[in-house]
Amino acid sequence: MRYFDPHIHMVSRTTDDYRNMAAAGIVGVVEPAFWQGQPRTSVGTFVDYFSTLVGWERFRASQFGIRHYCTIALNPKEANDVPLAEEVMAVLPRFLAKDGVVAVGEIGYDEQTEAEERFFAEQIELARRHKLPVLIHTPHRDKKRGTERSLALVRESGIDEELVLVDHLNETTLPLVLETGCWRGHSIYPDTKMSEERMVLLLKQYGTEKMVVNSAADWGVSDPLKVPKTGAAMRAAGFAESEIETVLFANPIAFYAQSGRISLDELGSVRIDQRRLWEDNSVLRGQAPVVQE
Amino acid sequence: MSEPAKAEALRARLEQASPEALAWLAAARAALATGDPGAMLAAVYAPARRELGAHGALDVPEIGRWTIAAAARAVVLDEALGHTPGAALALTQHLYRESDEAAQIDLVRSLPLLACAAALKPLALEAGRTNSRAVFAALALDNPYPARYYTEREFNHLVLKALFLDLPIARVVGLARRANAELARMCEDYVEEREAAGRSVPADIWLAAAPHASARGEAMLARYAASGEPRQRRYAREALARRAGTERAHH
Repeated sequence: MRYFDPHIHMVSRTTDDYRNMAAAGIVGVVEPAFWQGQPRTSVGTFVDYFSTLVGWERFRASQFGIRHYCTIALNPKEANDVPLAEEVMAVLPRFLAKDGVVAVGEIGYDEQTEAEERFFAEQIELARRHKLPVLIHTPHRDKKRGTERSLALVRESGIDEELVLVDHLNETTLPLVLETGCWRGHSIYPDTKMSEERMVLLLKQYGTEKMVVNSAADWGVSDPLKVPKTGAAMRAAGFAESEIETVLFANPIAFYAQSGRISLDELGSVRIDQRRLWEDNSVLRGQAPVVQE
Repeated sequence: MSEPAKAEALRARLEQASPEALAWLAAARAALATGDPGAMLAAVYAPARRELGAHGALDVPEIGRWTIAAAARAVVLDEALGHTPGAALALTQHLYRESDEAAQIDLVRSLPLLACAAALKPLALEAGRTNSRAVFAALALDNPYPARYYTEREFNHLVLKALFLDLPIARVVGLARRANAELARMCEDYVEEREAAGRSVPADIWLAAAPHASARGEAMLARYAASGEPRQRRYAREALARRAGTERAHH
């Protein structure tokens, strides 16, 4: 069974994670641009971070047989420093033009301020101009109202809802998105937010259409194997292999394939060659390189 | 007490209580006069806990209990900002961003005392977005600043984040006074979300949710007052009693 994790912050994960993910059947990931735990204070650090997403991190993933794609945006948690946010908006287009950048994201609300709304709306517009899909982060606090307002903004913008993935949904917010044409993303965490068991209940209740599952694993307590674990939970609950593959592989790829920069064919064709270097750097520290023929 | 009066009261108490602080302040003032205010302020602020930390605490009427080091930091910050009134926000933001967690905590705690407190709201909001539970607690708990200066939306999000971080919202200054229907709505949505997820609800949520509860909130309150674990019942019943008392007072 092949898996795809469409929302995972690999910059904060180790090579052990990559190795375990590959062993568990994950063949591709999308890493969205987000904050790093404390606010950035200059546009240069955003530029360097975006460059990492399309550069070093993509290479690091490939060394373990995983295809790495990313989304680029000014995230809601850093949208309130308006002068800095404007500088970031100005550098986004040059990253959105790159290969492997499959959407504008993560965008959305954090505390539902005016500044957040401004840059949320501007980035939906940016996505339309670049003909890219949009990844929306729904806030963790005042989530229901934040989701309602996000969907309202999507409607107002006129963007095709097929191009919009609304993420971090739960029992109270999924029904809101089901009334729209947007895709439905769920982040599976240990302890908090959504679990595999609750996810399985949602899939049983609402079906698998446009349903997407991810680990959103990052620098906090999280688990980069939540996608295969959700697969196991689905299997235990009686879902067919084809349904599991639909939710945990085909759906996320189909969504992001609308960017024209990822396809079902590409996945599974990364051959590991750990002799390769990226800007003269290797992931190895004295080990013998793995080379797949 | 007005802000200038508070800073003055702290300074007077500090100078009286601690010869070390008196000497430290004199040295800090001299340093501030020598160079770029931003750089010098950070230079004197950063080592304050190491230099003064061992020397006890003060109790100041209407202001509370302060360590000598935190009080000295507050006084030197207030004086530095007094010399550069037009740049007060920029200077404080710079200091905050350059500070480690412990210094950020002292800075945030001192906000309501500063003469230019009102101008520093953007910095308070920035501190509120912190990932550090300790820095957030310094802003949200035992701190009159948010209740005094925040809009309704800003105050509500502060309270909600405190609930999310499992902080005791009984210590949010001015919560009873500033509670409102929108805050109640946010809390009621949160209760629904947690119940749908099969997860527990913070027992003290009623402090924020009860005062302006909608019909939905009243039904939740009644439910939690009647069943659920003991701490939940206690908070819910107390909230109901306060509501009944308020209604009686209005009739």
